[in-house]
Amino acid sequence: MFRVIRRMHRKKRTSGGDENAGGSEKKAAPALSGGLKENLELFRGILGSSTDIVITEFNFGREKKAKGALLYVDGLSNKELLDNTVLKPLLFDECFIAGGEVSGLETIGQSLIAASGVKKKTDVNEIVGDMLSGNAIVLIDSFAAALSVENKKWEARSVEQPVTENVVRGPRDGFTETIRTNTALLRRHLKNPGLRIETFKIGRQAKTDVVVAYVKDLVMPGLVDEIKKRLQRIDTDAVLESGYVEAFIEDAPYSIFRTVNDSEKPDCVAGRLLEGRAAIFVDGTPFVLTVPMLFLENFMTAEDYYQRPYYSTYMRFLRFLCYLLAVFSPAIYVALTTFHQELIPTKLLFTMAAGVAGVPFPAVLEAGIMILTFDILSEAGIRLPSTVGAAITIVGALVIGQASVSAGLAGPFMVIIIAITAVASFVIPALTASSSLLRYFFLILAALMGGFGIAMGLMLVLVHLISLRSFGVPYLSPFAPLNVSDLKDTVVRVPHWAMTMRPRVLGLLNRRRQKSGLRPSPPGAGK
Amino acid sequence: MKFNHVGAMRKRTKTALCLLSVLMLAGCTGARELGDLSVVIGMGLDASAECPEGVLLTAQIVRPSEMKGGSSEGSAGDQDGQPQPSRAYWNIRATGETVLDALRECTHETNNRLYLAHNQLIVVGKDAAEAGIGRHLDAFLRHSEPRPSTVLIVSATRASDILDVQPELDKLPAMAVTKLTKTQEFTSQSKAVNIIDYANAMLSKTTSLVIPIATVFEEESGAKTVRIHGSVGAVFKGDRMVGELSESEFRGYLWAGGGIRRTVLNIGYRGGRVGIDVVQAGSDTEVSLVNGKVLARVKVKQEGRISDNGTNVAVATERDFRDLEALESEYIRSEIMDTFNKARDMNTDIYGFGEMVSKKYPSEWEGMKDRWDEMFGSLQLEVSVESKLRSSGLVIYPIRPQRDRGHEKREN
Repeated sequence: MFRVIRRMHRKKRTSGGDENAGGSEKKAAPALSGGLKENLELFRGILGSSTDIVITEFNFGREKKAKGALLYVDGLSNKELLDNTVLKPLLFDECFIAGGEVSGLETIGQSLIAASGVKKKTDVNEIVGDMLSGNAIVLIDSFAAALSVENKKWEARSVEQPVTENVVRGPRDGFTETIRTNTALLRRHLKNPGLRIETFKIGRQAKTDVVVAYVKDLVMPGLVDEIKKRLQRIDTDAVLESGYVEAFIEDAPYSIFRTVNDSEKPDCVAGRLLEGRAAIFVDGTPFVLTVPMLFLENFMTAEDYYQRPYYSTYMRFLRFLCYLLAVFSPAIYVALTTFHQELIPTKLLFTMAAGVAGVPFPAVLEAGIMILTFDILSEAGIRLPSTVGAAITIVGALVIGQASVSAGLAGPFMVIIIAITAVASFVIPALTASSSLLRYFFLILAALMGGFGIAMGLMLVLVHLISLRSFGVPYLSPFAPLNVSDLKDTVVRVPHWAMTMRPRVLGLLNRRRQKSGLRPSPPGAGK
Repeated sequence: MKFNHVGAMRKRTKTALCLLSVLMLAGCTGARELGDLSVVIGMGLDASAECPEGVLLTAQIVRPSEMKGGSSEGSAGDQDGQPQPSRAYWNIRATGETVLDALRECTHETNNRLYLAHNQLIVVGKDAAEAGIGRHLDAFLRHSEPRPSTVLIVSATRASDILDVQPELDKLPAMAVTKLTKTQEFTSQSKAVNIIDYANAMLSKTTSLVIPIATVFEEESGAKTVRIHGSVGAVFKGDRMVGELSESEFRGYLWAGGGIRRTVLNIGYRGGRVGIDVVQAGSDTEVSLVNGKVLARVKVKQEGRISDNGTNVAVATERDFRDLEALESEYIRSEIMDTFNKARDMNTDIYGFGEMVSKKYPSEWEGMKDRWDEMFGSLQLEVSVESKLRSSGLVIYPIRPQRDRGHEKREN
């Protein structure tokens, strides 16, 4: 089925032709001229009469003969700082400008403007881009270039606890919408000179900053080049969120499983970089992508590494179990009640039979209705403002619980099954997107063919999972292909002193993570 | 190029159709909703008067709605001001040439096909058992629904009598009787037999099967109960019932066969009775050919503890224990011999000696197998019992008025 879609897509792409390729940025860029007036006209022409664009003209020099202009976007630049670092020195420190002649733009940039990031730029598009991302632009008469002064400041959300990945123990800082803050957060966790941060601008219209971060000597060989290649392919209006980027760079665009992971937590991203992965930051979103992704990552949380290994192992096991429950329990219930009644314990069978005595629908329809109701409720719970959220809880409890049973819409056992499914699916939020669809898939198979159908569907899903790759790494590794030494951080999580090696599929460059023999022992307990 | 493309298209369509047809093949044919099941929990097989070659089948069907909740206070039938408990089962009877024929006959009366996968009990009426059960039970091994673990019992009267008695503690007669056969392990005077045991015995040419007998007892008040008591074992020769075993005879059979789990022995000792709770028992049987005759040696090992002391003396010394162990051994030996003699009289090899001989002496067995009945009649049995008393319980002296105890002290 996917193949059909893919083929249609391919056809469209080839027939559509290249008439649109290139896009707006290929237009011949107008050059700066020597006159300030002309230059200002040029910028006014490009930027229009937007009210948030501030253009201040000023005269400076000993006899105020020199003319200049300051351009910035109101709200993106620090006005106060601009006054102190740019305007004040230019207007009052006259000593440098002998006889009203401005000797060179570099001189102003290096000697007069008291800001750290000053660059001379000549390309108009680049200058406009700088300005729109918060820099201040200084234009001086008689120079066909501009100074771009680093002066960004805007209202931003402060570093807060992330909403998606809650931890009891562990750092509580989360990424914000500002890319610089995010890279800084990452660097605070990884004070490593090898941490490389490379910026791209993506989006014809929006020109969003996208950053690739990796640790130079650890990252999987070839990974960074591949990421860059895939990022540079992106030629679209805008990447408003990292989900856009994910859609353009992922390996299996038709799969219901994602092959690019994300995180809101700097400690998680740092941990993944240290295993040989790379991170992709997108300006404007706190969700940072990490690649390559393994299926196993869905079952991991940051806290696994901060707690005692026994409990972490138990939790990992529990998450696997919950995933199975979330996907299979309605299907298994339907298979048992319509095909394999002999597998139900005798006494339970009687209670179950009594429970569905008044229900007019077949089990599969009953399950379908209940799952749909649950999905509606959970979606409503997310979308609603929290003030009305309580109403949903009450209505939900009534609809899914008591009322549906007493109204004869569903049996009490079905309610239990759906409740288990619901709670279990919340244990692994990373997989909700796929598990809620798989649930229907298996439900239908179970209704048609019982346990045989479930087994067939499972084969299908497993074959699909095994065939997936994320940036060249098998999705199901280290299970398939089996890698025994990497199993120490899968369903079991061994203590940190026992994890001496990086995962084999990722940390090829530098396998050893730590000294071996770090297991602590009390003094005098022998060597 | 174009041709190729069409070919690939056709191939793909074919594959898709094949996959779809797989869905259709398995179809919904096997699907049954829970509400559409008539779950049979117990079945009775009786000789039929109207169809002498056939079978009168009683199927106990569960009413799930009555199974709900703890107590069986029913809403139905309020006669004479007394609440009449509504029954959680429905016994339906049908006659047929074969078991399956009778089963299908039931659908003339029930609104659903009978579902046998949860059947727990097959009761065979005495008439039917004496006429031979093989042709009836074949269906239970052949059909995919019934379980091999289904318990098999013989009714002292008609099978339907057993299934009609409303038990006191359970809601379903079939379930109650099934549990009853399993609780026999506390006395080991009877032992549950299931369809697999039956099949194994039938596959052997010589071994006879012993199936527990359940009897309906009627009390003076008119209340009926089902008991495994009195005459408790139906001895089969082939698939026909030929005789019965009493409680002690059944235990004698189990001692030799290693089927004792727990039991109580009451030994007369020093003017009273000492109850011994047997907690562990095992047996080892060996056959040998001596001068063309078969000699079987049964070694029984059992361990027990004194569970009650009806005498007035403390049974606590080494000597007491040795004396009691000897008495126990003799008691068990005589039980075994009694049963063996009875089995020999009936000419039923309930112990499976024939099988043992055939395994140990395969070449000699060739000449023996056709005259095994005769050989079994002259079979010699040697029994040795090793008894062990482990403890006298939590107290040593019998707890009696002090006067009684003092002057009865042992003089040694």
